Formats: sequence, C-alpha cells, structure tokens
Amino acid sequence: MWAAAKRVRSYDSLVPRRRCLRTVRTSAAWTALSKATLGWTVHQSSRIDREPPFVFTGQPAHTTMADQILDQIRDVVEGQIDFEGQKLVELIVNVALTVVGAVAFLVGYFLQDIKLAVWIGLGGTALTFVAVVPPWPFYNQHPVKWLPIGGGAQAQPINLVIGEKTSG
Amino acid sequence: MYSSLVRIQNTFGFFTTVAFVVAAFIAASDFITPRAPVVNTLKTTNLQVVRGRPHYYSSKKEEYAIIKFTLDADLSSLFTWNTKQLFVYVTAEWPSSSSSSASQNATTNQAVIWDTIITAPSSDHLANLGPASLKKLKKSAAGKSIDPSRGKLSLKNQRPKYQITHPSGKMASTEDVTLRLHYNVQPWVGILSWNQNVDYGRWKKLAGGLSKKFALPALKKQDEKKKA
Repeated sequence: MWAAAKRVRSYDSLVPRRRCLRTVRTSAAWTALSKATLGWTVHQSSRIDREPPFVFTGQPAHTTMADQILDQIRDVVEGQIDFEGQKLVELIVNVALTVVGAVAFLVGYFLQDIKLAVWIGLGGTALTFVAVVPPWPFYNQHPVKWLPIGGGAQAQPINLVIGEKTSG
Repeated sequence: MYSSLVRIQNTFGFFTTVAFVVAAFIAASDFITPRAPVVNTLKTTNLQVVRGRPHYYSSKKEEYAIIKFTLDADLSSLFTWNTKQLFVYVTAEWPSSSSSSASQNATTNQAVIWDTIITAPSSDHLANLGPASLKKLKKSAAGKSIDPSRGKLSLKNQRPKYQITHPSGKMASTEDVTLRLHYNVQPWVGILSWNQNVDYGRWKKLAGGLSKKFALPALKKQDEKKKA
C-alpha cells in the first residue's frame, strides 16, 4: 500500500512531499491536531531533526499510526488524479456544463418555464460536480511511470538508501 | 485539475460563465417575443375635488382631486417566461396653468392616482400579501408556469388609491386633464421596459392608453352639507 510506485503520481506529489512537506506537516500545529483528533502523539523531535540517510520507502522511517491515518485523510481530501484524468476532467466539465446550459435554456424557452430552466441548470451543474470533483478511480488509470532512480536500467528495489551507497 | 480543490474552482468558474451566457440568452429572448398591449377603455366615472390637509397636524389646507375611473385593458402579451412582475399605474396629466409663474414653458403635471403589481406565477412567493390571499393567488395559477390571463384588467368605477393635489394647493376646475395608463415590465433577467409610444421591432406601442380630456369640477361645498 505504501509502495513508492503508488505514492508517486505526479510531480507535485513527488517532489515536495519527501522532505519539505514532511517537515512542515510535523509542525507543532499538526502534532496538536493529530493529538486532538486521534488522541495519538506524534514524536516530533525525531522527525524534524532527521538527517539523511533516510530510507526511501515512500514512507518515513519513523511513522506512527496517526501519521498513516492522517496521510490517508489527506489523500482523500487532496484527491489527486493523473495527467490523463486531468485532461478528461477538463473535457467533461466544458462539455457537460455547456450542454446543461443549452438544455436549460431550450427547455425553459419552449415550455415557457423559467423555474424549470433554473433547476435544470443547477441540477446539471451539481451532477457535473459529483462526476468531476472526487478522485474517481476512472481518473487514475494512467499513473506516471517514473524512470528508475539513479538512471539504472535494472529494476530497482523498493527499499533504497540515499546518502549512503545504494543497495541492490 | 490535479486536486479536488482545483477541480472545484475550475468547475465553479466555468459554471458562472455558463450561467451568465444563459442569462444573456434569456434576456435576449424578450426581444423576439411580440408584445401588443391594448387598452380598450380608460375613462373617468366620477370626479370630485375636496379640501383637506396633507396630514393630520397640518394647518395648510389643500385641494384634492378624487378621480374614479373605469379601465379595461389587455396586457396579457407582456407575460412571458422571463416576466417576473408587471407594475401597472394610471396617472392624471394636465398642462400647467398659464397663470402660474412658469411663464411660457409648457410643462405637464403628472400624478399617479392608482397602481397595482401583477406578479407572474413564477414570482407569486414574492407577492406582498397575507397568508390567505397568497395561498389564493398561488392556487389561481396552480400548475401553470405563466398565466397571461392575469394581464387582463377590468376595473369598473375604481376608486383611486391616491388623491392628488398640486404644489400650489389648487386643483379645482383644472382643465384638459387626461388619464394615462402606464406599465413597467420587470423581468427575471434583462432590461426593465415601460410602455412606449412607438413600435420597437416586435414590441408594439400601447394602443389607446389615453383617456379623453376632462375638467375637474369646482370645489365641493362642504358647508352646505353641514348646514343641511
């Protein structure tokens, strides 16, 4: 579940998350939040002072239960989708909303009912939101295939130590 | 579009654009809808001029004209899907008297004597009525999205809502007074429009919105009544 291949979905999920976001998110506020919401304590000092080498597992070396759950929550809230999914979403939004607007106007005009037009417009927009906003699996069918770390042609193991000699 | 928040923002942004364009189309649909309002009858039935005070504690006495009238009009073509409500009002108009200080400039006095708001069924819930009348109003157009029959006005010997006077306080024996029917169409989206004296495309001018000229009577003698 926490394998690197799954965690790495796009640039913005890859680059900052490893070092910068990790540090920021283990700030005092984050610790307090996890304590307040989950009743667990995040060991803060071990996180902030951590220096390489750390194990590149897609999961920090010192991970608590709270961290895992918070990561999952954040994934759901962020709802990231892959590049193909983004392209598809854009198309769906533009087409669906335009069609909804046209249908709302035409139905309203020919039935001479402006309230119906408003409800069609709002309902169609709500449906578009439902179709587009959550990260449906449909939008994650083309995950980015990253080159192996270090430029090696051979398959890389999941556990890779950076800062020392690469293993495997 | 990579995260949910960005997708919400983009979708909502495009939704506002679509909403604006649809609203513009709705507003434009007014211009291709024909309007042919007709006033069949507009005449006075009873004229009276009395002396009175503008308010209870006023020491100033003014003359007030009470103009009863009969109106028969068909404004049903003004009710389309985009009509929210129709404001109909009757004014009395008379030229300013030559004896007044306003020299040769022929100005016209105009005062509203009666008005009404006719809501379209789509805006019945906005009508300023009590619960019972509101229910009755909604029931009158149950199942209908528009109700042009509400544009058919038929008033017989209608008492004016407003007794009119003039800044000079003189109203008795005023000559060349006419009644005029006005309307103001208030759409859900689009421009406000009033009665017009010339045709604009498919919007025909208001036919027969002017009464014949009449003169207000002399002041009613209150004293004689009291003595009697």
